[in-house]
Amino acid sequence: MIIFKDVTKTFQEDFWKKKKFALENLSFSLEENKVTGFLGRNGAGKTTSIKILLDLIKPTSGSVEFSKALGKNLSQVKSQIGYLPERPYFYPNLTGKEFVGYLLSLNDKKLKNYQSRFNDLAQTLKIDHAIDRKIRGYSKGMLQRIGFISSVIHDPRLIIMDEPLSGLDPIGRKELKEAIIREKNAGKTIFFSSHIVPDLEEISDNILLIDQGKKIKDSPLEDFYSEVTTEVEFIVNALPEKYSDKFFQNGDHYRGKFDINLKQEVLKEIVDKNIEVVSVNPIRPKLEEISYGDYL
Amino acid sequence: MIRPNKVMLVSRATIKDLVSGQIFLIAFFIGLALAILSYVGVELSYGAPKKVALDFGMGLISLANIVICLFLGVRVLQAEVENRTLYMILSRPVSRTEFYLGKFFGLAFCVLAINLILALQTLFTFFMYGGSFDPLIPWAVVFTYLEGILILAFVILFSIITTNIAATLYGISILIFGHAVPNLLDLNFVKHNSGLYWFVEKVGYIIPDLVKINIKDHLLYGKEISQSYLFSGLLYILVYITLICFITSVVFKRKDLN
Repeated sequence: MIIFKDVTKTFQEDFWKKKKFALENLSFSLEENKVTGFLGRNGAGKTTSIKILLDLIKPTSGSVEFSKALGKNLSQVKSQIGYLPERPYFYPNLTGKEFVGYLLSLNDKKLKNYQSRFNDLAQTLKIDHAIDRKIRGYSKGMLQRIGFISSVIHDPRLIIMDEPLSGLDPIGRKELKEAIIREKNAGKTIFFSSHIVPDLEEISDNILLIDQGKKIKDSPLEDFYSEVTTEVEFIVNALPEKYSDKFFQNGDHYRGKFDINLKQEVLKEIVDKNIEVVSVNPIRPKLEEISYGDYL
Repeated sequence: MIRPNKVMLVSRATIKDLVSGQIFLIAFFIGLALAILSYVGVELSYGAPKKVALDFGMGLISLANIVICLFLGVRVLQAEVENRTLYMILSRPVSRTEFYLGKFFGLAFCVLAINLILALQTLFTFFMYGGSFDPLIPWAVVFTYLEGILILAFVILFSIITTNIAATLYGISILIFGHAVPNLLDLNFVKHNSGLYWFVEKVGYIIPDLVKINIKDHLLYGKEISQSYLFSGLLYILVYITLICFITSVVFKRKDLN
């Protein structure tokens, strides 16, 4: 859907100072109907990448290519994009409803069922009680919710969000995550950045990991795990004699950890001995441990 | 290509935000203060209450106009970037030029409404003291308004390329130089110093000539002024505002919105 091609962005604080690389030959692509989690520490270049994607800043070199399905020109492409910036704030003197209506009116796409879609979203995100209140009185969570509504109200094909879950309380995070998953299930392409790994783990199909403006890893979430899955855990109902030293009793069951390469061999032995298998689970480190431990 | 409907949408939202922010209530209180000051000024004057009422009124409209334009102009784009509303808007099919023009026209409309409120209050005081209508009054109000709009255009331009404080100071400098530079050429000291004269003359080509649209003296002292002078002044200021808007849109288009 989008190809980010060899993008480099340099910044210079003052003209006598050395140029700094915010992004260095960064390339990636966003697949249609997938959720791509954009992972990296603070200052890794996530927001800069998103801003280049949206033409808010120009790359020093490289390019961003949009699929023809999104539109023929930038204006048509933008009609298909919904964007939620980090810590959004809106016109304080407008009501939530007025602000969403304003952003919707800027789109070339006309929606017949706007009102019902708005009401549905407001109810789902539990902000329906505040939509006629001025934004100046909104809490951070309410701003995030109204921001999310305004980014999806026009039914875009691509939703880009910059740290959408940061600073929210646990209930707020849960509700917003559910709303993102609903959009994912509706077939939207979602690209969202975060430095909080469990959020990405829960929602993403693909993970793009960057650090200091460079791509570290770009792959489906499962591949992230498979590369680092080295052990497998068996839970069985009886103790297999051959591996008695490897299993320990845990309640009514026996648990044992084995090297991933021994999986078939152990399984065959258990089956041959007519022992009931409760489960076979690959032991995965958390994404947080993988990304911040192994790669960065 | 600039799409007028997009410009209109941005303008409408700008006006709505300012109106909801009770800018007109502030304008009303400025007007009230203006009326009280005019009244006090007139009462303290001797012999020419009509003239003082008009002089005070026009002077205070001009001052209020400049303060409002500086205040609104310096914040208009900066606040949008700081609050990230600009990112949400520009991620929609709206060009930067459309957005800038929408903001500019929205502000210009609000300043016009404020000017009209203040002008009506001034005229009320003027007529109360027995003043009669002079065709130059509307011209003076229009020129005062356009002077504010020119400063607004300059301040928005400066706010894109520098800090808020610097933008305000540059805006005030334009106002001061715009009134001072054309008069400097009449000073004997400048006339007798060819190098200085050349320099001031060249600066005069760049800095807007605000003396050209200052017709308050003509209005107060009944000096003759031709229609062609008034129309050429109007054309001059409109062209200048358009030029500044054009430069601003070019700079804004190229700016990285960090």
